[in-house]
Amino acid sequence: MKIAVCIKHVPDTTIQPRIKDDKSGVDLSSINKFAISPYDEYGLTEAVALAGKHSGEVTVLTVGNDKAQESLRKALAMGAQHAIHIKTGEATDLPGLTTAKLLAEQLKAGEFDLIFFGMKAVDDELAMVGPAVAALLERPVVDSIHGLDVADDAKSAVAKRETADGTEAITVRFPAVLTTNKGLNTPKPPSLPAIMKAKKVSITAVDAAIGELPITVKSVDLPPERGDVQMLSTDGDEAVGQLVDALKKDVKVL
Amino acid sequence: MPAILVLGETRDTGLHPFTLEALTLARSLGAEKSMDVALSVVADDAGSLPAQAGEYGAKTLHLLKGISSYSEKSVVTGLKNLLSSGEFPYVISGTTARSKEIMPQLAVIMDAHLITEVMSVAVEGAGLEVKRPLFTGKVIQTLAVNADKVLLSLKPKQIEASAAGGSAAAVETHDVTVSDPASVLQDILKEAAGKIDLQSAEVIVSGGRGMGGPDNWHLIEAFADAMGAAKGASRAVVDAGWRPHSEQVGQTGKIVSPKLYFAVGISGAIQHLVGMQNSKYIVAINKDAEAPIFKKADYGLVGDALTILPKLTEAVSASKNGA
Repeated sequence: MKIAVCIKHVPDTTIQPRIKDDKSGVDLSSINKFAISPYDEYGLTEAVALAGKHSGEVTVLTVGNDKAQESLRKALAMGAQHAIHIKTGEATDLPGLTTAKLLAEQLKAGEFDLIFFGMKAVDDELAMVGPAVAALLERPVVDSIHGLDVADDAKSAVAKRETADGTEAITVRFPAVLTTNKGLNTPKPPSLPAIMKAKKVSITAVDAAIGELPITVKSVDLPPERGDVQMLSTDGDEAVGQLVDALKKDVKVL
Repeated sequence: MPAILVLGETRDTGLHPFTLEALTLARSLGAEKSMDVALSVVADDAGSLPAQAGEYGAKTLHLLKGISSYSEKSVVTGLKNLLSSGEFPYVISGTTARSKEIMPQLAVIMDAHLITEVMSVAVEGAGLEVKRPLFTGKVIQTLAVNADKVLLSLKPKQIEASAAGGSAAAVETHDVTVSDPASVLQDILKEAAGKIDLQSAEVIVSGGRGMGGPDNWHLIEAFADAMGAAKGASRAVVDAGWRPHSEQVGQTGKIVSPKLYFAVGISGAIQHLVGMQNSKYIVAINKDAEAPIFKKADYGLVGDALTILPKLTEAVSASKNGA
């Protein structure tokens, strides 16, 4: 079984991004803690488990600058066997279709039974690269899965995902693309021996050809500030009365 | 004649609230670009859809028939035929489980860029200016779009849906026959009837560790019922197994934008705040006066949620009954 996992090297989710003085973008140089985007880790963990069960191999891919190699090494340490680095140099904020085309180009020849993506990256939250790659490779896709039951012959699966109306069970035939959500599994940090072994794996690097793009970042801003809090009475009954008043007169929901 | 296509969905017997938002945006964009609005929906019967579609500004309703069980492959096939006429330089949708699978595939078919989580759209010369969030809304990005074709999927509840009062849309039916699609919906475990979903809710009541335990959740439920609200939860109580992940609001749960958000017994860790800071009004109820949640709230009540909630529920019910 051949499985691919597409990952993204992103700033750690606890950071408060700083905006450049000219507001042209987020100042990434001030961030020193990066990680594999959390949703991608569910796909990676699932891929490694499936490869183990079905005598398969996992290839991890990323589209990113030179620093993204760090995440490829971590993914190798978490159990992937091969890694492909599509290098974007200084280009940032790539539109989803552009990223999808770069990945599809590398995935085409691989004849992967399954390709995993996180359902979104936690920095730009495009939430579209997986399904776009599925269309480019003419494969079925199931988005945001939190459950996966692969058939014994590893040719199909039943995936579970949530919608506003409830949980859906979708049957999908391989080769397929799946995007992963929390609940699928519990990713585990790699062991030190695995980290050391991963350092020796040869990563395939390709330079991304990105032409001129019709979408450019004009500016970035902080969201508008909220007003100050109105603290209500410390007497419970009084506070409840004040709150109901506010809900009636100011919020106008009662 | 170029037109704007809204990729719509139904909910119960009418159009999905996010489809109404998309139609509202399409109509205003259409007015500036001198383009009509068309709506596509997967349904076997038009029912009252043409009237409602027309009310919200759609001239034509394209009905994709014959998809007995949802399959992204079937829907994409149906839309591919519709798009092949080249009539639609703009495709707009809300954000739903369906649109997340479909819109990126339409972008590939049209070889046009899709911009997701759109908060606002303005016409700028020959192009568009689009705002969307980064880092779960910690930063807002303004994009300049200079393309002849573009797809937009809207962040829920940023565009206020409004009807224009037009006449019923003309219906065009398209039979979509995809035999044995590679992916198909097999089963739905439906939630309790009448449950309000977090992303379209006007009011949300969320509980955190301050609720003390799962056995106290009936207090949250009673208050949510009194308010006609959807129920949410903090990551802490979901991880503790008190509430299901489907209720989680926050960075690794749902990002919500209700008119009114109650944070009950929730301290206000940044991962939770990013999930609800887009709410128009925030009410925080917490025992700890120093809880960070009070910095984001509009109204703060320092007190024990377990004593406050029943009083609040009673007061709200009384108010609704005309007291």
